[in-house]
Amino acid sequence: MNRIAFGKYIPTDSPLHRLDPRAKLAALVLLVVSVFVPVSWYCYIPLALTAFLAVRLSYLKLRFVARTLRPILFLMLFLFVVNALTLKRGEVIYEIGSFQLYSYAISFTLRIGARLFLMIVFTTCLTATTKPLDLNLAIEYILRPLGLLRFPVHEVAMMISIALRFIPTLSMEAGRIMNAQKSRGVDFEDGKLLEKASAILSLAIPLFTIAFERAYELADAMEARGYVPGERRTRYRKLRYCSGDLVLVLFSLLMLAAMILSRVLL
Amino acid sequence: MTVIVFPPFPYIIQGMSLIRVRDLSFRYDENTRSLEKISFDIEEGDYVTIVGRNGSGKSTLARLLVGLETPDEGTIEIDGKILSDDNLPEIRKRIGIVFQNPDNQFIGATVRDDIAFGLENRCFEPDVMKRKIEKYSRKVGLSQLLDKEPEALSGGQKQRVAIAGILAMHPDIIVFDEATSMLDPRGRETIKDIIDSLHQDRKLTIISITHDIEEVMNSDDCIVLYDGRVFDHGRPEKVFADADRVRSIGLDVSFIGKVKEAFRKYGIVLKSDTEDEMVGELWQYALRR
Amino acid sequence: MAIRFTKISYIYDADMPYFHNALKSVNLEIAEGRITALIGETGSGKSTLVQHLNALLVPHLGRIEILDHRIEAGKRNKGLKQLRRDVGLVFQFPEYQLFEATVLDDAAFGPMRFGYSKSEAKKRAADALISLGITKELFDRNPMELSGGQKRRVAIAGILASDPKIIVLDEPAAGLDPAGTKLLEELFVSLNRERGKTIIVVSHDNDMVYSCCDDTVLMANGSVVYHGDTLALFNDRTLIDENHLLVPRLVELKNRLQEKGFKVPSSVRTIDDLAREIAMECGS
Repeated sequence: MNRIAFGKYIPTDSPLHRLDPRAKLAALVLLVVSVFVPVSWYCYIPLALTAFLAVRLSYLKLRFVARTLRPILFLMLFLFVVNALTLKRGEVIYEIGSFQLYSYAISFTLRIGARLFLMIVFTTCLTATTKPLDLNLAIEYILRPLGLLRFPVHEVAMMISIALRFIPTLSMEAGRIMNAQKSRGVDFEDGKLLEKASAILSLAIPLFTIAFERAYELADAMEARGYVPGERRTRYRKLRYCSGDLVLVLFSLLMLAAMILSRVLL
Repeated sequence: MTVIVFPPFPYIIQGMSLIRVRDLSFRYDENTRSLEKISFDIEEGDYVTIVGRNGSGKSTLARLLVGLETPDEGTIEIDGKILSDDNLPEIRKRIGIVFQNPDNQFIGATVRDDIAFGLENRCFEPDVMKRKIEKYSRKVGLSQLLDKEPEALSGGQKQRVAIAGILAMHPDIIVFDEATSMLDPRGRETIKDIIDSLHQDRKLTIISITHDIEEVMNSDDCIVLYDGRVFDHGRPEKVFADADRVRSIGLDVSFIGKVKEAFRKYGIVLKSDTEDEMVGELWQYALRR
Repeated sequence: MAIRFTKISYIYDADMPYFHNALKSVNLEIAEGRITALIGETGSGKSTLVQHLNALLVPHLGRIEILDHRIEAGKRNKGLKQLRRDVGLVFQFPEYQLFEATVLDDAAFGPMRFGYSKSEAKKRAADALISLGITKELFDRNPMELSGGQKRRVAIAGILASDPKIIVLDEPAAGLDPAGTKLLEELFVSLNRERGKTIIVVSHDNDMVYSCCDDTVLMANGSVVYHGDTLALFNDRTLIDENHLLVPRLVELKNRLQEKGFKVPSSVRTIDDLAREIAMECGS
């Protein structure tokens, strides 16, 4: 369970940790859009530098970032095969029998790869430096206008924050049940189809039971502490901007503007 | 000099019990009886333990007391007000509950946020909340851990967070529903120490549902449930005096009780209620021999 | 030797800034046919060690031999299923692993995974259930309908049904009432005394450890600090103080009596032993 690196919060005290989650969320949106704008190769240089800077400023180990990227390698491989078979533009650079590999298939795959790569690095820098709770506050802040349309912003935010709160607990629980069933002879890795189905059931049924039990107990605890859905309540956490936030958002805006400009001019 | 005041209106004095439970019955479904015509009083400032084997109805009683279930029959009266749907929010402000599983009552993302949860529901302003969080986290010894997440805390620490969250709302009554049963010995001791110190102030009424016989012996008053009924109610030394009777309903006597029982088997009858007294008593006995 | 650990190290989150060295070059030999307690504070490495006994975790360094199985660091280890049949692991709150529709099916689930035929597995399950006091009327019930103590016993029966040679129990009595606790203590003692099973109990309850367990392994910060006779451990002031151990209440009372002048031997294991010794000393 500890193998999942993408989306994980890393509790250190880096410069990025100290910034306001709203600023970071806004910057992420701007940067991700920037990633999809450019046409020229040169444009990826400043973006890659930004990504590198972001990783350094969040004190992340490169090995950790590499681990979050591992899944896209497979995606890339798959994409490359599809592209090699279907994209027939540019020069032929390799030929075997009736099959011809065109340069465009390679450049197109690389471009998509670069975009995914940058997107994941930026997202990782956000999730690794922002507590789920703060991220949730930021989302709630951004969704606030929807409250005017009678959208239950607070309740949704409460649901998200509780879900986030219980993800580590339930994933630990899942690990524990898997271990217990392995001890009873269940093989989660290989085995026949029928065995596999029973393996999944042996994990899923107890996990659902526990999740429901926890949900009921949590609901009791919330009720006993005076929570009434829909009723007015104050909030302890208040988000505060600092000058660093302004720098981050301005920088991201400039990056987007530059990318758009490059697209128009080049 | 002692002044004896003869109560002119005995029923008023009687009516002063903080909690009065009368003929309380509750069942989860047709076939199973959970509680059957239970009646008892709890005095203000007392530390009351409720014991009974698993399935005797202890936790159901706790849920009824904090208004998480509605009685089928009978009444729960708190400070003269009969618990009902109308006054539930009012009464809830006066009574807090710490549940058994430390994980399932941790709502906030950090210690700070969890203590704040109840205060947010009561619409306190952020700066007031901050003061209260600091004050009550200090009281349970958590000042250094305010920004920790639940995964980084031990079970005992999580239970202390739950207690701080309740204390911050100034209740009159705290119910502990097997709050120490999932903790390691060290965690258990810290929670029991906190319960003790809360009891010292005598401002709070404490109701603790427990299997821990040593905790029971430490309380003022003990209610024994058996099969959904009150089997016994009184001072713990009295309730647990007869080892065979206690064992017949699936409970156990205290360590001291067991020692006395063993010595009796070898013809030595001891009267002491503490280890200190017992060592002395045995020594006297040996000298006489 | 039933179990031999040679220089076992295990690290959680090895590539994270907050990695945790849970086992530090642990050497440990546990003899066959004994009841061994595994004690130590939360986070001392007990549960990491227990998971190695079923190869649920594979060490980063070192070698483990259990009966005739070998687990080595950095290798793809084979024969895990046989290992898991030979070493029955009862986790904390084992009732959460129940998932089959009936009590009997659930108890037979393990033996069936370990290759017993359906009828043989059910027979073994039925025997195990009955030995734990789960009567035939309950066999066709859904395990979720049972009481907490019953569920726990069904789960334990599911492990015993495969007839493991070594049984590891992690806090078997956690959350049970006194009667349920006593029943489980008697169970593992009788599995050892009557059926010769090697038993390992992880526990925080030093009173129970003192009265039921032959040997004790004490862990602290990922290392084994003491392994040997239980009585010797709890009668050793220095070891107790150095490791902040909770002294069993019986030992505490016995020490006080000794200080007062009684000549109680340190080998008293139960309250009854103590009372008998004192009564003899007083000549009654």
